[in-house]
Amino acid sequence: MDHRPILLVEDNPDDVELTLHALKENNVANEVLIAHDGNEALEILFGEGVPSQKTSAPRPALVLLDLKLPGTDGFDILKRIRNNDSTRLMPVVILTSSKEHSDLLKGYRLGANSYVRKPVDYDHFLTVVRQLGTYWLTLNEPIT
Amino acid sequence: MWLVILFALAVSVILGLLEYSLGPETVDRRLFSTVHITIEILRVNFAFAVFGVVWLSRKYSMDRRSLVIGMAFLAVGVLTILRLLTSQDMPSMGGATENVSHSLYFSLFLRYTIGTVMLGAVFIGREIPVTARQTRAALWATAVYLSLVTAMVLAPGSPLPDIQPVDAGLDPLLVELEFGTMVVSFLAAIGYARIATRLHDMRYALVSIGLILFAQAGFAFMESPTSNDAVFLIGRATALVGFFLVFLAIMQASLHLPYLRLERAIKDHKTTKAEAETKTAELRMLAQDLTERRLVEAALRKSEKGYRDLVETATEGIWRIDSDSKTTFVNLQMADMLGYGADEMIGRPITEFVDPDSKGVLEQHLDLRKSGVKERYDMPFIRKNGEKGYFLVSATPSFDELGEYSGSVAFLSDITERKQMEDALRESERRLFRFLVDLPVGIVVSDTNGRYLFANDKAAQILGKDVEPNIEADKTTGFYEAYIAGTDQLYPKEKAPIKRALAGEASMVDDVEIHKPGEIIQIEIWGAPVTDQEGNVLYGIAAFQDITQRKESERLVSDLNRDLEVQAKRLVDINKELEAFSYSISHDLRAPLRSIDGFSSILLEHQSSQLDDKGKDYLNRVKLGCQRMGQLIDDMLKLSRITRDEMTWENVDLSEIARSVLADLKKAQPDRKVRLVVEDGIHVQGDERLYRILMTNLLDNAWKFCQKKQRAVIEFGVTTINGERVHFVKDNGAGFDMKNVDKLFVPFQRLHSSLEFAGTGIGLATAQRIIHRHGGRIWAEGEVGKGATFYFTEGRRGASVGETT
Repeated sequence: MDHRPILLVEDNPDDVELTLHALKENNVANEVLIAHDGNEALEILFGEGVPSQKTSAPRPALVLLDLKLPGTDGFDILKRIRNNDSTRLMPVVILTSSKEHSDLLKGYRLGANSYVRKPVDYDHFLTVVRQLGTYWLTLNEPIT
Repeated sequence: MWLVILFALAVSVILGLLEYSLGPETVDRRLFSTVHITIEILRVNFAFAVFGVVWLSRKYSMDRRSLVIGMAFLAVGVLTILRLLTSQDMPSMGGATENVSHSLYFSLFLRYTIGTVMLGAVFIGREIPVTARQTRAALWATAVYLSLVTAMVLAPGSPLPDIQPVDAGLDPLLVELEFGTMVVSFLAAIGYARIATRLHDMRYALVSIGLILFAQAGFAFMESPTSNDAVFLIGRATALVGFFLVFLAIMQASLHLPYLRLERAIKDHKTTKAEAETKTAELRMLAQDLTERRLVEAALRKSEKGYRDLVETATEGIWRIDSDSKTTFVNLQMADMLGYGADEMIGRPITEFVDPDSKGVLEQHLDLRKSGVKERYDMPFIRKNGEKGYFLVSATPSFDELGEYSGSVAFLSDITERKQMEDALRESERRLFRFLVDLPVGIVVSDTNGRYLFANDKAAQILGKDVEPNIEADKTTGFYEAYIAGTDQLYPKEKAPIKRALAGEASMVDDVEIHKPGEIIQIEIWGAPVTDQEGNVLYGIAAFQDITQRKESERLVSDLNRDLEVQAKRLVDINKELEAFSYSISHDLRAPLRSIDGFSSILLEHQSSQLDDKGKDYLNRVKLGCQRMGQLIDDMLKLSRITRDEMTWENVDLSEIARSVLADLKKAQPDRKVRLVVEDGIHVQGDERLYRILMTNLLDNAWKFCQKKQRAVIEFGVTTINGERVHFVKDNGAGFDMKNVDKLFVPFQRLHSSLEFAGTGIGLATAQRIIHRHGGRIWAEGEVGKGATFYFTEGRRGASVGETT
């Protein structure tokens, strides 16, 4: 199991709370780094911006990326991640409520590893999170 | 003739009687001798005269008869001389006074010579010419004869017996011989008398009388016993007369007649000559005439041939009629033009060749001919086959020497084709003219001087004034108050299409205003030049129409268009908004829902101890509400996508889709027993994805509403309603009340509660949206408890209802 942190890029605090809860429910013990917008995400990943966070933290094992973000949108972050050598191969799962086919396409084109829709129903959400955790942190072979 | 001869006879008879009655009266010797010799000399003269005439005229009028007579009288002359010489009265000459036998013999021979020769001459053919040789021969014969006779009489050894002495009277032998001479002479006289009467020739009459007298002289001799008495002398005298008559006759024959003949001949010759000359002159003239005539004839023939050729080869028909208008001649061309043979037309009046309506007109033309008028006119003629042909007739009358109308000749050319073309042209012109007049466009035609030649009614109507022919094109703008649209400036004449047309330029302007009393109209003017083959401008044509309405409409249209554009833009914006909206929804609306549901769940999960049953129940209802809302949002999104997304048009196998959808349904609920009836091979043209959604919705519904039915049957097929191909999905499930049929396709409008049957009520609205986008129709029939059937028709591309792009 990959014990490195998970980067959650999500602007909605409720969604943040629910996601954290879901992770805990599913016994995912990895540290969760939270970025509320693009800047914070980039800073965490590349150490840019305000040097208030811990920049020496180990590379995230998984990025859970929401698309609808204030300012820089999820796709830009994805681009940055994929353009940077140090993060190119990092697993990025787009976790969004958008059912738009165009978003799906764009996500895959830009190099997302996975595209998952956030269900409204919490129970379903729990299942989704569990499956994601199981897969990406346990089953999937990471690059260390 | 005979009368003369009879007279001579009578005289002879009288003389004879006289001599008989006289008896022997002796006459004084000396007187006797004188008279006797005188008579004898005269006799010799006449005898020689006869010979002389005959001889001298031998070249001209000698024929056998006259030759013989001439020779005879030569002999007679000689014998008479000899007789005289040997008679008593010439003793010195050897005339014996005692023996007169020599002279008697000479006398005898003399008389016989005359008598026989003359008689013989009767039988000689008249006017047999003699040759010179024959004449010479006759002369020699006579000479020989005379010699013989002389020898016979005078020679001493002559066989002739002596005849009696002087006064002894006549020997009976001598009397007989003398009688013989009388007879012969008399016969000869008759002969000549006959010839004389036959030929009515005086000469022969004279001869005849001479011979009669001569015969009478013989009688006298016979009666004279002594031969020296008065009777004797009378006899000699009578014979002298006889000689004289013969001489006359011979003169006539040999001299007079020939001279007469000559004279006549000369006269004749003269006449003949004159005649000949006249004749020659005539002949010469004739010859000249002839030559001239021949030349003229030749020239005439040539000219005639020339004319004939002209007539025959003329491409025009030539028709000659006489004063009764009967055809006297038609050339080949004319006959051909009417389809007749030339001989069929000869003799028939020209009026027979036109139809009855034209006859009157033709006769009028013919009357003009009779008054000497020549003219050219059109006339329809009827061909042999009944066709009507039009001809141009060029007719000239002719008159004889008396100035009387003798007929006319006409040249005809076939103008049927031309006439047809003219008629066609006229018809087309008429149509054109009518068309021009009826055109809802004003047309004016101007000549190169700017004068208006033609304007139709519409032109005047549009301009509000009659088109004046005398207004020059330059003054037009002022006269008709043409201004630049929207200004008070008179329309510049250089721009005016009619002016430009006259300069050879085709143009169009539509910014012309006409200020009429009470209104301002806008007109559009097209101008074009009409040129001849060399490109010179003949006329300018301008066509114009009142475009006020049009301009108004145009303004309206452009306004509308602007509005439309605005609308369209707004629609696009709306669509974009919708798109954005949908996008928002998929994110923003969900998020709170997620929160609500999420935290509710967590509460239920982790704070259940602090919640009573009612609290748990309420939290459950909260969760349910969120789920429902989530579903609604999803459905709405789906519906809007149906409307927004672009359609493809391809062949869609509905049967296959139906089967696939039903299979999925069956897989999801394998326990349900539903009989499925799907017709094969149902194809439509449309968007495959949308049709799939359609079929899914309809079949889902059917599946859903059948769930309470024991023997559920779901059918999909195609049928024909009112000649139209209609697809249907039929179930025998819960059905619906027909009074609610209008609510079926309204989004979110449900006929059953969600407790009965799940669903948001978007399925049928979606189905309708899909069918409408394909341009088809969808409707339903149902009966509560029995089932429902949903019908839809296939649409056509481009016929979609309420399609938005």
